[in-house]
Amino acid sequence: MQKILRIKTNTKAVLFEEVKTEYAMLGGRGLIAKILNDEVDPKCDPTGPENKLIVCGGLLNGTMLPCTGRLSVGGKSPLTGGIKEANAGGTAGQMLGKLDIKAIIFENKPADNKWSILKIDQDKAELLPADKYVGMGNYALSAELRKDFGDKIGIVSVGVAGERGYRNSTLQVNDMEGNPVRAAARGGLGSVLGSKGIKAIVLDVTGAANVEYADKEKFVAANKKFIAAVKAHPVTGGMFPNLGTAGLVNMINGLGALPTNNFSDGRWDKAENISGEKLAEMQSTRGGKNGHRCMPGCVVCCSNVIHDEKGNYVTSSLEFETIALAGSNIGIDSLDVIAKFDRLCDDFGIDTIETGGTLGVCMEAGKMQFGDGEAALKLLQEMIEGTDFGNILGQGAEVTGKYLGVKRIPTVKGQTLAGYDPRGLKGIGVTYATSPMGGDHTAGNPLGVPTVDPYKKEGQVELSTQMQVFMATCDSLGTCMMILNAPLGEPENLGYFLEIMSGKFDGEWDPDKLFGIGVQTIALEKAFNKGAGFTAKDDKLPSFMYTEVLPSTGTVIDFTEEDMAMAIPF
Amino acid sequence: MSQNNLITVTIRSHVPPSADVKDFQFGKPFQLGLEYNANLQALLQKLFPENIKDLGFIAVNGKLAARDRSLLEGDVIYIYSLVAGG
Ligand code: SF4
Repeated sequence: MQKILRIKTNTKAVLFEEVKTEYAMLGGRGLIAKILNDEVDPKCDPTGPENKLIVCGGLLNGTMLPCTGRLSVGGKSPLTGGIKEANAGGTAGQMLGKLDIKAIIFENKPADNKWSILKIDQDKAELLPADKYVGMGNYALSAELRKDFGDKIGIVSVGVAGERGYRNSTLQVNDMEGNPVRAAARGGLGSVLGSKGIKAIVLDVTGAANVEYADKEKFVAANKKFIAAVKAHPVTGGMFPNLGTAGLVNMINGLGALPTNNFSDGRWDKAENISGEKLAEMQSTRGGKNGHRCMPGCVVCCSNVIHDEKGNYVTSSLEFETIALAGSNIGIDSLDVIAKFDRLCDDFGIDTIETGGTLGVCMEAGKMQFGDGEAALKLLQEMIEGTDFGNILGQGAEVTGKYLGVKRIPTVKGQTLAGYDPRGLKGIGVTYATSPMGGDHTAGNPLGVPTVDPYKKEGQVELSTQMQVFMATCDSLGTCMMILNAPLGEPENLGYFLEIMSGKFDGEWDPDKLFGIGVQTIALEKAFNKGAGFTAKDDKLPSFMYTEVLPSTGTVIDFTEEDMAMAIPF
Repeated sequence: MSQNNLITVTIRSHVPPSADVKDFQFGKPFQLGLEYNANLQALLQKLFPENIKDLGFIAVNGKLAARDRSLLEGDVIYIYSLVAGG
């Protein structure tokens, strides 16, 4: 029987609660949206005692569907001031399922200002003193926790950035090798867990999850067919296992939407040097790996392990978004420098997208030259050391840009845009502007749909709406978008997936019922943001993008406020 | 047809061609001879007769290309599948 674990950090009480009936068909992002609407004042201070940090798996967590153990975390975001859900792969999501925990809710603030870790195993959950772990980076912390509790544990942790309340801070989840490299990165939620005095959650469980199926035979049969389709698909069976998401570099550069020199161009003549093809070539001689899986049972394996020129481990996984924001966006064409940047971010516990955007505005302000990798790593070091300027950098690109007097700040609702300039891929512009998540590509990326011209606004509102609903559904199921996005475009595969839902939950499932999960999620999120004070006027892209022509495509943003208001009308 | 009427293009495809293409390797460049004045759509139809619906963006020499674009000697063609970002 699933339960909710509530942690009252002010009294250090650890309480198991029954799951309310109305939460039964909610999971991941949808469950977070519901709990926040039920329990949190949207006007609260994100790092104050009234905000809550929720950690949970999705509706399909623990089932045999591969790539379905993503861990969702959520709360009111210190970066956007609105609702935020971020999710990550790694091992912890599946472990939460095995422990039969539907959600963990952290509330209040410790009265004694003391740090704790939450340790959960099959018999009990308890808060333990974390004094010896405070001040540790995620790598040292992970090694120490594994020494103390065994190397099979799942870990969700905050780095020093989360301890300090940086608005760009992450929660890191360990991968199958124990490295703290899978990040619930966006929105600064690490600082919300940090504000509760929690340094880490340690999950200690083995064996299989105890999952109930309405019709297990039906589930297994449909699951088998769906997996075969995923493996045969050119994206999930070809591009991602071979090149990872880094394979998108040349594609987005070809499209003319690759953020270059603080979003001043969309095509870069050095893009090949940071491409997925180049990365694969480098790794083949260094002992690194493409086709790596971040969680047990993944059949897509889009992750990678990066080694340096001496063959030593540096980081995992180097993703397209990191390469775009810490590469072309700041003029750096060395994958080795970008890999170091990624390692430092994971260890300190900060979002690579937000940090790349922050360095971009620093370069625009003349703090250093575009392309100066050494200077970029030095600024990152300032953040790590907590110098006065480092503390400003830790508040993200918008705060830093305003502090430096920069006019061109690539943010929406305070959050840096991801690796697609919306002037060259207008559908994602609608998503950035209108998603309750702020400027976040994972909220719905309408990339590669040949029937809608990426440079024109026609059809983009509808496309973005469709993708936002799709992603809110994925995030509520706890299923990796990599396994669903491309294959579900085929009606036959969608049919298998509806059978999977029916095998798990019973009843007839059609596309309306499946994607109704996403619609309901977005509606709840919009309600929260409305309560927080957001209006239609906030649904807009950075002002320079409406007037400054993107050289690679010759386009500007031409959506009106009325156009944007037509998106996600729930 | 004389040699003068042929052009050679380089192709890097992230979608396996449904036609039989000698030496095709996923995402690796290979060269192909085409009739002078062939256009992109004709090339795609030749390589992907069964799975042309899987194709997303196509870039020629690093730029998004329209399907009716004429191909020239030395063009480098990237073929991508329908894909969502990571
Ligand atoms: S496809 Fe990639 S992100 Fe998704 S579960 Fe597999 S390795 Fe993790």
